[in-house]
Amino acid sequence: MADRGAIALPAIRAGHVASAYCQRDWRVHLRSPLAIGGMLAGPLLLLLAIGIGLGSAIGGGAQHQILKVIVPGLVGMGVVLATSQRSIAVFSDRTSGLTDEIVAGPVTVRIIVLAQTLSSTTIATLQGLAVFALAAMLGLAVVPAHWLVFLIALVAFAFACAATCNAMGLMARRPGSIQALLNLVVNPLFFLSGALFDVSATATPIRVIALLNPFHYGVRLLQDAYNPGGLDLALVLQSAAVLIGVAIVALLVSARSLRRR
Amino acid sequence: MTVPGSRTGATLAAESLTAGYGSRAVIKDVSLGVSGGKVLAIVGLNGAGKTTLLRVLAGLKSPMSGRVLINGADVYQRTTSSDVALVLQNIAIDRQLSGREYLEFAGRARGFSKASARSSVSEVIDELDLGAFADRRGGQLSGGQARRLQLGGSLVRRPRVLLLDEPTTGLDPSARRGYWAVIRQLASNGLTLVMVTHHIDEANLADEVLVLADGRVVSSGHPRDLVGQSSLSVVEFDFNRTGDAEAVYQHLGSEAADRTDAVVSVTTTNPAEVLSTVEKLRPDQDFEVRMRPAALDDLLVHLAKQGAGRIDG
Repeated sequence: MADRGAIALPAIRAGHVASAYCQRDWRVHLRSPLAIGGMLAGPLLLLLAIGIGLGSAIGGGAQHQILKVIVPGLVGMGVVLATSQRSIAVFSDRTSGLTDEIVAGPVTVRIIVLAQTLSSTTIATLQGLAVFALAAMLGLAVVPAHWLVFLIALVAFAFACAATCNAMGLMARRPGSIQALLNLVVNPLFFLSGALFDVSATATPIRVIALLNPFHYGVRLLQDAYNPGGLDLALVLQSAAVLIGVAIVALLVSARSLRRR
Repeated sequence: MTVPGSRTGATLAAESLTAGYGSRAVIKDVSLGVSGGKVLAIVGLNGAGKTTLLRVLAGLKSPMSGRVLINGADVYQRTTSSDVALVLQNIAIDRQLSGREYLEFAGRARGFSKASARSSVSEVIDELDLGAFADRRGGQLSGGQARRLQLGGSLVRRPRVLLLDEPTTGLDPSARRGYWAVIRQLASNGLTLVMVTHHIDEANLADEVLVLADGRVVSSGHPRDLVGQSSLSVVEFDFNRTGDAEAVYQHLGSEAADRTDAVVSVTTTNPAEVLSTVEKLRPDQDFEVRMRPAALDDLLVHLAKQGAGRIDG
């Protein structure tokens, strides 16, 4: 019997692996409506409580200012919640032995790690778009001229978050560890990124922390896309470069944690 | 009959493997060899290094020294292996996917195109007789069905060498028999199989048994030959009082004897000496003595204990 898979070129084989993970993860994701709802509930709740509730309570144009900051931040929150959820799935694959069984086969760990990350990226992007759509229904949308930039910002942020969270899922050894990593690393990265406040209006220490925070660049990209004014191309490129750099480092960490030990 | 995995089996060899964690060696100077169509069972007590050895053979854990060769090629000189498939002790299937979806994922995640994976999945379903539950979700399957599905996942990519880590754990006797029928069928179609097991009756079904104790090979050979070549007997002392049994057991030591309630059993090449020792310990002779030739499980436990004792000592 011919070994049909053996003739595939590495790039084609990598495509098969990525497509396998995407299909599998999407199937599982769509069969978990509760998880999807849970991921949307957080951003929606904050939008209603802070953006609309608190904003209108303060009055005097505060609502507009708050919404301008937090709507793109909440899109980012949708992404972070989705990638956090995915990191738990990656952790489960690892601890159940499924990932090791696959690593023992004919595909390199780099391809496996990239496939897992791409799959998580697609799910996180769609979760981010779902928050975007909810906000748009409330009249908080991106101007059409910025749609492409918004999409690029969303995918870049989702890719960086997915790579970071998946690395944690692969490094954790116990269920408590993955939860602790998410609480100690991902939550601070998100909440100190400027997703829920205007970084430029905060005290210097917070501003410095935000500038050192890679998630800040993702949130800033999303905020730029939401801003109806002109885009600062240098800032966009700088933010995208930081996100790609973070993703590459996280992918290398993941590959290292999966390689033969 | 064509069974998935019916590519010609490869010869798997390990040469003087030493491997462990940090500077601590868990397996020490282990050599083995198994060719296509054969089943090698690795047995040993808990902590003997069986799973670590399997992970080294699978290419998942680099040895400190020694080599793993498949058809003469060093596994650790290559970044990937299309020859090896591994089935771990945990049931590593996706509970939210149907059996067919899981098998397709297993094939494609190992590099198959969708069309190739689907074709291979159909073969695996037919040959492992998974059709009755192939469209049910993993979470709805019994332990035996899930184990067979997991085995199917490892065969979709048609490996030459199949490594199994206690694959019948948690299965009832009937499911275990069914699983072993599949294992023997795979071997008869030429696949090379290495299996870690705790079940002595399973070791009996293998073509060769390798006994590990404290990371070292203390014996190997065909199960029948292992028993045939040994001059071991089992002497059982059935005491009237549990306290007497405990006293004798403490004197003989856990490396030489086993105790269950009031019965102390000793596997030995010199039953007369053991009898004399016990009679001196309990001159009232308030016990019954039974003697029988050692079976494979007695032999394996004896070898494992002796090996560990010798190495520790």
